[in-house]
Amino acid sequence: MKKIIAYFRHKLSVRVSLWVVFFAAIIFNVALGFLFYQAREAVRQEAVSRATQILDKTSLRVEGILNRVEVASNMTKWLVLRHSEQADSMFVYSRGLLLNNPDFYNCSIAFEPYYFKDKGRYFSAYTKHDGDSIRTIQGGSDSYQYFFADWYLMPQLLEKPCWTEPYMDLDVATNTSEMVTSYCQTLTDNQGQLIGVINISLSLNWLSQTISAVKPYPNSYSIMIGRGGTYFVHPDTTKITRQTIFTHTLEQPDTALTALGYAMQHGEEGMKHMNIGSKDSYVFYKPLGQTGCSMAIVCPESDIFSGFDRLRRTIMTIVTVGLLLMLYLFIRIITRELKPLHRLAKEAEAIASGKFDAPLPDFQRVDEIGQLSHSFGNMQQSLVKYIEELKNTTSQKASIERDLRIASAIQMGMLPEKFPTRDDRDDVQLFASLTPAKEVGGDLFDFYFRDEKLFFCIGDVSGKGVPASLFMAVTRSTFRTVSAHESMPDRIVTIMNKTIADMNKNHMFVTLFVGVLDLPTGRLRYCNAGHDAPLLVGAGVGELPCDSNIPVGFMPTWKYSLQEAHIFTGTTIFLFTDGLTEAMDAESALFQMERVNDVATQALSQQQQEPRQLIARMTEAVHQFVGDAEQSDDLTMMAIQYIKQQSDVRMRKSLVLSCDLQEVPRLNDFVEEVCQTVGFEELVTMQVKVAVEEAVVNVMKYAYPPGQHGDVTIEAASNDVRLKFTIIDSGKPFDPTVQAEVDTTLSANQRNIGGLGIHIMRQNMDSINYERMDNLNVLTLRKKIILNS
Amino acid sequence: MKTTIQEIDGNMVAILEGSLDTAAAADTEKAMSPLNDVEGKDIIIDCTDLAYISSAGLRIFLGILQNAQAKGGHVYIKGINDTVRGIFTITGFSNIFEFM
Amino acid sequence: MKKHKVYLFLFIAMVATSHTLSAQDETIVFTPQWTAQAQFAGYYVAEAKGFYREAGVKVRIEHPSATQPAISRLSQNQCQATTLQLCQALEIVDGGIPLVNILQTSMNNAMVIVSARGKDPLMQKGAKVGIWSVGFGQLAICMSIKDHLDYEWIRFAQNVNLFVAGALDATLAMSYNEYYQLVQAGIQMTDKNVYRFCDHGYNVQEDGVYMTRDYYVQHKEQARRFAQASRKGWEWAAQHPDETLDIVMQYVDKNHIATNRVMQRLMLKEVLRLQVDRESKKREFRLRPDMVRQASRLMVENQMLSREITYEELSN
Repeated sequence: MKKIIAYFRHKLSVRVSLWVVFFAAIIFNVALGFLFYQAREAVRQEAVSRATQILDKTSLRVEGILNRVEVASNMTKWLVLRHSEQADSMFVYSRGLLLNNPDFYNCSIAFEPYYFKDKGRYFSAYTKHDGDSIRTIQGGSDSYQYFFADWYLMPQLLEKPCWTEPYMDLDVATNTSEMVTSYCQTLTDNQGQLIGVINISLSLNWLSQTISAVKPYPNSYSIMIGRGGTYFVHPDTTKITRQTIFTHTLEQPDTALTALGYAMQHGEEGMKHMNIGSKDSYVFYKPLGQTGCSMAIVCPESDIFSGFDRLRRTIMTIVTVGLLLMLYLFIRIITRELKPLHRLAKEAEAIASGKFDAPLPDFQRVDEIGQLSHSFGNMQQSLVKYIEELKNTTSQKASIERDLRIASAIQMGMLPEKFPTRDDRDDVQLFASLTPAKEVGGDLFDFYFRDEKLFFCIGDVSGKGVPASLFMAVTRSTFRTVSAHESMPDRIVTIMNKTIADMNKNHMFVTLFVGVLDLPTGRLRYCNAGHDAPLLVGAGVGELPCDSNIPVGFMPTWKYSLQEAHIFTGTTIFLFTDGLTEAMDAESALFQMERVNDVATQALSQQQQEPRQLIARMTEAVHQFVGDAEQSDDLTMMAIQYIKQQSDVRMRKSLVLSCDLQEVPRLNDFVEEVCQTVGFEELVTMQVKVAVEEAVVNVMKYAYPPGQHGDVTIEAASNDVRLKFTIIDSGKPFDPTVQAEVDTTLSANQRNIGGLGIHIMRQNMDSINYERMDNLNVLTLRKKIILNS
Repeated sequence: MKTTIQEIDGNMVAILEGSLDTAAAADTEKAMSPLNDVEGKDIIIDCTDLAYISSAGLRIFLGILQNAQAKGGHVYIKGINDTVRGIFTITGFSNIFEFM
Repeated sequence: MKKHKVYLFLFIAMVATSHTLSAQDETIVFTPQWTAQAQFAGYYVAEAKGFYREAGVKVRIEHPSATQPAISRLSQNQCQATTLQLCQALEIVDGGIPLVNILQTSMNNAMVIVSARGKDPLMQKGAKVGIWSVGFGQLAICMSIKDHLDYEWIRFAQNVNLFVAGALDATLAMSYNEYYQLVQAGIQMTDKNVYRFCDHGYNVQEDGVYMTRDYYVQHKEQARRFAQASRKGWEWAAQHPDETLDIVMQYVDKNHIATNRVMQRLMLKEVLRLQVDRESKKREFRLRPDMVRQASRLMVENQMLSREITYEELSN
């Protein structure tokens, strides 16, 4: 069953056809039903009129005979009464009557006992056909006392002529019996006294045959019943005279039959539709004259409607076959019409499985299916196009993502990766972290050491992503380029600003904090270009005071201010971008400066202002605060702790030379003496000698204009760690440390004669530091004391 | 500082003795100027007794080398001690001179 | 009434003349007083089941014909035993022919008056009432006189036709026979239009088997055996009504009787019912002296008998 339902579900053609045929069947049924009903009614009417006609005809035939009997009876009565005293003439009358009416069965003219005194108790002139002859006898006897016979009693009791109930007439002479019905009337004398009865009998055989012959339909039959309901005509001969119409109902009540019986008994005429002998039948009934008998024609419905039923069966067969044929054809036609759809479905399946180039069937149709196919073709083309675009976009995106990853790696590679700790340096330790919100970010930090100074910066480019990262890279490289020649943060920032602003067409900017920490002294020079003020975590937690300068990149002409501060040993400078204070949690609340202060204060109270620890604590605090929320901005932190311990001076010597190159041997002697004091070995002494000579010769040659006398002071000092030479002159400001580096890899003819001096100083000494102080050029050369053990 | 120039085995040999500092550089350069006229011979600078050299001295060496190479000659440095070699090394001069 | 008397006289005369002719035939010819029907089922059973043969009596059942009613056959010694109603027997004995009741089957009276058009028979004074031309009806005549109904009795030969044809106001009927014929003819029976004599102080026994005393005296043993076997037939019939009906229908068909199985079934049931005594609730098969006395006195009162016939005159 489920399989059949599933089949119907999957077969549109079958379903549509079934619906159409279903409704067609309904219309046919209604129309035919109406037609059949009308036709049936007509057939019924026809049957009724036909049966009624036949019944009337039969009834007329019967009544014709009955009338003859009655007329004959009246005639005889007239004759008898005219000659009522002549007994023997009664035989003549009786015989004459039968002679004139050979179809009568018998005739009796019976008289009251002893009416004819000479004839005794019984006198009945009885005439009967006996074969071809007619026999006339005296009918009464002891064994046939006619006085008690119905025919003799009935007209007396009813006081009128009448027909008796059929009865078996026994002919004693021949011992034959015949079922007869008699017409009888009384004979009365002038005083109204009964003298006898005339009885004329008709054989019921004749009546039965006449009535039985009535057969309007092949299976119809006739019945006749008497007043008492007794069957006198019936196709079942065993019922004749033995049963009444009610007999059957005594054991099996049948109200219809009972009603028919009563109706016929009462001499009614009519038609009943009822079930007789388990057949639906129409019964037409009518009384037979005055006999008290009633005849009925039983017509089985199947007979009446046999022609009609045959017609109906034929039509129904044609309609059924037609509907089935229609169903078959509909299924075939719809299936054929829908075939393209089936193909389309298959093609669509192919397309769905990825075969975008699957050829579509080309239906030369303009109907809905053609349109669908056309639309489908368009869809396929669009699909191919979109898929192609999607592929490109995807590969482009992948390429961009790859580029971004590389860019990210490059960007991170730009940032210093090695952070000096206490193990590396005795003056400063440093740590920084940068977490971009995207692959690449706009934050930057940088630091490097040059000439006993720590150059560092932290910045935040406006915006995020690739543009910001490019801007950051520019900023960082500019910082490196500029700070290679400039030692003053304000100068560095000002130059950077001019450079960047000139090439800034996209109106981006960067907040920047640039600092230069003089490591030997702890003096911090800095310039803040719109960046968050760093925290100083040392004796307490406080912000480094900052001037309000505008960020870098806006105005190329802006003059940035310089600020100075002294950093005490142990103090940590904590720098950060606004990604820290503006870190957002899921509810978009900001981390804020208070929390930064709290974390720093806590760290300080636990002596954990060491750069790594401080940044780790800060990072943890931010993570806790942000929770699962997406990082909204780049986050950069840098911590610089100054740890320089001032050592005791073990030795201090000084030499003042005039600016004459001929003083160089004195200088060399002085340096050699100092080196020997410190205990350097010969090679190191040699290196220091060359370096100091180069520095001093520089001053002698270039500090003062030609012809002007000037001095140069060389101070030598040492502690347990370093030997320091300080070369001081009062000539024009000149920073040898920012001279271009010599390329030592060039071949002989490419090499320049100059520039070697500063190179040698850098190579031979551990650090070189230039400062302009109080209109003096102060150059400091340092060399670690590593003694031969 | 003492500078001696001799021709030995067909080569021009400059023997440098003492410290070649900035003060001595001018004299030494003058003393070695004949080497700039040498043609078709190799130049050997004998540094066996050279105790010290500054950048001024290195400039003299470079001048001689550039002059000689322009003429297709060779300049060899001979007998250099470790401390002076250190200066040569850090300045990249060890790459452009030929040592014997 | 006059006719009846004449008829009875003729009968008695015939019996008297034929008496000397009676031969000592071993075979008992038994003639029921009507054509073959369930009223005589017990005898048919006794014959068909061989009870008579077992009892050692030769019995032949011969039904009366139109020309030879049962009584005339008995009187002419054409039969040795016949069934009679008690009242009939009393009349015959009173007429001078001693009879012996050898077996009494009926214990109740079966006669009814059925009134036409649903009327109460007791309310139809002077009505035309059908009565059998061959007797039976004595109690009805007594009742008519006693209750001053003054019925006009119409003697008929052919059962119910007159009544059905509307020629009579009422008719006498036996509850086992004509009553059902009327029902079959479509007459509706109600409590009102049916008068049952047994319920109105006229419960007098009816059918019994009688022999002339002359014959009986000479054939006492045969008579006893015949009666015993007949009783056995009735008892068997009471126990096997369906098979009995089959046997009855064989006799009915053999004699071409215009009746039907339904009718015979009803008749058998009613006849068997009438054989059960109202008081003892048993089939007693005995003549009740009180009933004989009651019938006899009623008939004497109404001049139907010249003297009271006693139970002893009928009993063996």
